[in-house]
Amino acid sequence: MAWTLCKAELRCLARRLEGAFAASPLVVGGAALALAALPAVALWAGLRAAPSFRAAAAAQSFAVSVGLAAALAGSVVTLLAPGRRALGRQLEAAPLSRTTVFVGLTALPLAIVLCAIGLPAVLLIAPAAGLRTPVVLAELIGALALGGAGAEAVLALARRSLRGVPAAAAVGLIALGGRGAAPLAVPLWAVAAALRPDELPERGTVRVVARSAFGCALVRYARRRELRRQALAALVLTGTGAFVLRVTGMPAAAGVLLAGSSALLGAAVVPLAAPGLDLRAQWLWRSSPSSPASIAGTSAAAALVCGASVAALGTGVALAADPVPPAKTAPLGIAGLLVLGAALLAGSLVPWRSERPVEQLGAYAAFAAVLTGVWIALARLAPLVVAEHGPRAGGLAAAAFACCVAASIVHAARRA
Amino acid sequence: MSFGAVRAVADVDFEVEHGHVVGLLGPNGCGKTTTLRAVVGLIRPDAGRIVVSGIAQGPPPARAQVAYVPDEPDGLDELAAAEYLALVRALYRAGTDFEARAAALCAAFGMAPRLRVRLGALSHGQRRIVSMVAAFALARPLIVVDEATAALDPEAAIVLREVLRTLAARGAGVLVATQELAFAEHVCDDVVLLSGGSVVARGRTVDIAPLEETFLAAVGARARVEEVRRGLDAL
Repeated sequence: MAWTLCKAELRCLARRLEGAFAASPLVVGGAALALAALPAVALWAGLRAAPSFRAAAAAQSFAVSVGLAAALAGSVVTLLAPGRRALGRQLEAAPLSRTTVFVGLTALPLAIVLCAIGLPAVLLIAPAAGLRTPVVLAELIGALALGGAGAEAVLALARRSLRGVPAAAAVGLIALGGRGAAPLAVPLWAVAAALRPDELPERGTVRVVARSAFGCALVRYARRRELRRQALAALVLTGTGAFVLRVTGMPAAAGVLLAGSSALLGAAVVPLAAPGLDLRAQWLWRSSPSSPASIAGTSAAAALVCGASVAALGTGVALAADPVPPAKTAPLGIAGLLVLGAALLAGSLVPWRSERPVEQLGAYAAFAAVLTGVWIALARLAPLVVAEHGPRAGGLAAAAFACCVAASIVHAARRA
Repeated sequence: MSFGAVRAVADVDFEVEHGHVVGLLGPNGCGKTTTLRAVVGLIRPDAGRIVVSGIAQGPPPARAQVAYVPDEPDGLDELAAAEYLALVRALYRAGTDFEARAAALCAAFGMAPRLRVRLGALSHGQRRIVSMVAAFALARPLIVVDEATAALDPEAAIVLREVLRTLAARGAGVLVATQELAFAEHVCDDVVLLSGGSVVARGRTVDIAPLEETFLAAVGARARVEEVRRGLDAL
């Protein structure tokens, strides 16, 4: 039964990809080529980075940082897990157990994704880890599952279920157990996900605060449950990460920067999702006498304000957990501009679709690609315009941000 | 059943017997869909209980007793109508006679030529017909249809009327929420009238027809019409 569910989802995905390829053969074909080249790129990067990995592996803070990144990925995957709602209004009432739904719609697709990225991961790690590669992979999967189990515990508590208490306690115990205990998180995550309590009905009545197009866009994003969840998960991980990095002996400023980066990635979900969410109201944009560019610009501004608020809150949490002079967080500001701009652009290129986790992962992948591209371009450009440090570096980042936002608005306006 | 501080449905109590069609009527927002979602096991009531074929609603064995047609079917847009029917059959573990029933229903609704069309490419009404075919072909003891005639053309609405009567004649209990009082008069043996989340009238259709009179009196809409006319002077 679970395989039947998984097959139906995979068939839908394959047809969506066919449709996307027919609509934009260059973009989808390029993405497919990039995926095909991933093992070779991973091996190349692994060979080049092996000495640095070996040197860094001795420091506990390096392992904690990598573990935190994996945990963040795990919590994102958990929060994206669709549940029976993905089957549509009719089939969500089908007589399927939670376990069947979890296995069919989450565990099996995730296993397929893990198998697909397993080879590149091995090729990236093997040059540095050598014979310890399976152990490192198991630890990474354990950290991923630990993040997922932590997110499940928070979800259960948020849904007023006591199942969250033992799950949170088990997550804490495994985290205290260190790297060796991490693989134990895999069964814990599976059990917690299979026993996930039902979502509470959403409050229908809200305080009316929006009176303008900008205000309406702002509250639309701020009231989306899935965005609030992901932002909250990033904030929790930011606080925990800053605290753990401090305890493990990482220099304070570096710890805050690293933890603040997870807050930035959490904040990016709002501008990443915004263009896709706007597509649902396209009938209104198309029939409105306002110009498409002004509508897209208003939505982009609202999404960026929401994202920047989450990023500022996260940086505040990191600073509270590990106080350093605020001036030392300036690099986070520059990174924030790039991350938010890249997220907005990626979101307009690969629209975020609610209740379609694979498309959401696709939007994340586009975000990673755009951010990497912008980063590489700036790294090449900065020495040429003497803008590697200080205010000039900030100006360059602001220019890149403006380009990303403008490109996103132009793309969204054309589509409308 | 509550949503936050808002109590959506309270003190609702009715029974759908085998072979009977029960209509759930009421103005928009009166709690019809919430009640139906509780009956099919998608919402757990804060208090009280729902029993289907002797089993308390909630777990899969109770859900398996109910076939559900939602007001706005969605999801799995990329599957062809025929693939969707096959998926429903598999998930409900329906027997081999599912296909014969589905074929008969498709022929009745005129859907047979569109079975290879993707759900996402069908019109809203056609998509509702696919979900009706899927639900009715399951031949479950209880059939729940939300907003029965919404988006259906007059011909499909007549076919639906005949299909529901036939299903009831074969022993199924049918619970239908609808806004169309004429449809309810033709199809339903009993009606339950909801307003503000509570039952305000109920009875056998023949006893309380014409439904429009009963409806207007029960929800206090008669006085409201005059009030609306006066209010529209502002236009």
